[in-house]
Amino acid sequence: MKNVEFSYSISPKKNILKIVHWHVKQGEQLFIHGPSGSGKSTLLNLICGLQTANLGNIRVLGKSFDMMSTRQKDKYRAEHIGYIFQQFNLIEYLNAIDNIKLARHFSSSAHEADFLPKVHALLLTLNLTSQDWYRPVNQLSVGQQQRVSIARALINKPKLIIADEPTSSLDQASRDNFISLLTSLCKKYGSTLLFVSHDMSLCQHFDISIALAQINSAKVIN
Amino acid sequence: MFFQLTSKSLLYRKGSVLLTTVALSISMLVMFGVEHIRDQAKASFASSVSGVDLIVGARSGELNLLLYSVFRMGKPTNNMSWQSYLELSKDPSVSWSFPISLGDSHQGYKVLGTTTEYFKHFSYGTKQPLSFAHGNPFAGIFDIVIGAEIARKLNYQIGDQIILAHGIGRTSFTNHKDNPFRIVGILQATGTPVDQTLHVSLQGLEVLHLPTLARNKFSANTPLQHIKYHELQPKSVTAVMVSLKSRMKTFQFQRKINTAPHEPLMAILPGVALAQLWQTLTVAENTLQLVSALVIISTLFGLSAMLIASIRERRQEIQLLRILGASPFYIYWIIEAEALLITTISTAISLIFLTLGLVFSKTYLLTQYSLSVGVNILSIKTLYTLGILLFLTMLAAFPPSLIAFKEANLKK
Repeated sequence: MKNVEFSYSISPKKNILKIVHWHVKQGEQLFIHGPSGSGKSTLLNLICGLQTANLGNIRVLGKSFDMMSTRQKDKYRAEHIGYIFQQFNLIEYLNAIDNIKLARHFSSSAHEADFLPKVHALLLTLNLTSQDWYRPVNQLSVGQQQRVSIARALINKPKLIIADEPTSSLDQASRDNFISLLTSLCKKYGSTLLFVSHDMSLCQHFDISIALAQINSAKVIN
Repeated sequence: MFFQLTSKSLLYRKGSVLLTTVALSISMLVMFGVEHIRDQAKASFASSVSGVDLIVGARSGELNLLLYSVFRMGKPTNNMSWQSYLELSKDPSVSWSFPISLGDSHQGYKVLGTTTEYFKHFSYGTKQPLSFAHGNPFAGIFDIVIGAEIARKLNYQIGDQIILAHGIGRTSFTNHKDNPFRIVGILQATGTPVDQTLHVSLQGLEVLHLPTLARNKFSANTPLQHIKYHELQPKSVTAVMVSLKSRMKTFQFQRKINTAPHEPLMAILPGVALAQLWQTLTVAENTLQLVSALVIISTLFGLSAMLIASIRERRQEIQLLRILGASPFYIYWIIEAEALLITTISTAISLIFLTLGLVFSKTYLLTQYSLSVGVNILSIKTLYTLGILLFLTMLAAFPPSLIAFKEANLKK
């Protein structure tokens, strides 16, 4: 990111983010922390191309979003970025396989013939047994839902994985298991990991950790 | 995947979706039902008589004469004298004419007394003449020709004997048991009241109403041509169907009949009377159409409200789809597709129930209202109506789809 500034159109003079220069190396596992309302989700939306900066340049995996149309950004996101949400955000009326298929649906490799065997192999790697694959996700335990959300984020073998406070509703043991599983899979696939949380105690699991305030020079008022 | 998302999403919210679908199905059932029965009735009425320039009868209302003489419905009209029939049939302007006499029945079906000219000249639809599925016109005094519907419903065949009843009610206490009629002909189906009519000779009807002693002179084998002219000459008939040599003279001939000095008669033009009949029904028809249109519109508003309420519950889902690469337009079309799917399912349900309803009520409509209603409800008009419905559904789904679209387009 270079000279990036972002403010909402309802209060254009109040910058939420002002980042002079910030970059993450490929394959790094980075923990970003900051209090609620500090602009973490906005930063992630900018990196995903869901929101557009008012000023500056954002390059993700070597591509600049400035030159891309919304449609191109959507496509780029579908192919190169995996996302894990705070509440895992699985679609309740779909089963585990269909939730994972959804991630594939919008990418250019949507019609690959060996897709299902790949999903099955990934789910087995994540210790999700075949009897749970076709059950609606709301019938799965929280731990199983976590693993489905990881599978969905990884199925396209994205070069960048973004995790937005995915452990906030977990107890410590589940949280540690989740992070170690995620980091090991990211290493295996060679994906860059951006893990965002307000919980600073998680920094022990990551190579690098930074506070958002270190890179954001905008004064954010909660 | 798109269809899977929309269909499973609807299944997931089955409670509200089911209620909306039922409401929409009922309103569509009413709308399609009204349209279909109206069209069928109109087609059935319009095709009931063809090639007849004038119907002549005793002076009464135009509609009453039309309904009774053609559709065997409404109150019986007064009879006109046989003499008047003879005079008008000999008029040089007349190409052909035949008298009809109503008053008896068989198991609720009307008996029509006429001459063999009826089978030569009566036509329906686009001037299609009557044709026989089996047998021939009546030749004997106790011969009878039955319509296709009667043969099918009562399982009658050539050679079967049937007893006529006095009066036109379904139940009669005066049966002409001593003089059964023998079926000599079964007409091809016409889809008109002819299918529910039994045809006998005027002489056959006359002999039924003679005193027993006089009646015994005639046997079932008495050919019509062996009967002396004065013996069974009717005194009156219900109406006369007239075709003129030149249509140019229709109004002139009509005036002549209407102003005949010796008997108060009236001549009606079947086409004009039919148009008049539909004119009287237009208000009811328009009201029914308006009511069904309003019901559909209010149900579509309900559909719109249901979808708007669902968007609030689906913010996370929309956010997820966006992150995964779905464009705001994709999300817009998911909501539109859900609405269209509900309408399509409702349409299918309403058409199935309407077809079943028509299958079960067909006989009732036919026997009670002489209304031949087809079971096939699919037509160009139905498809046209369906197109309008889908368009209205898209309009109704526009507000919720737009809300979803805006939800998908994060603020800058």
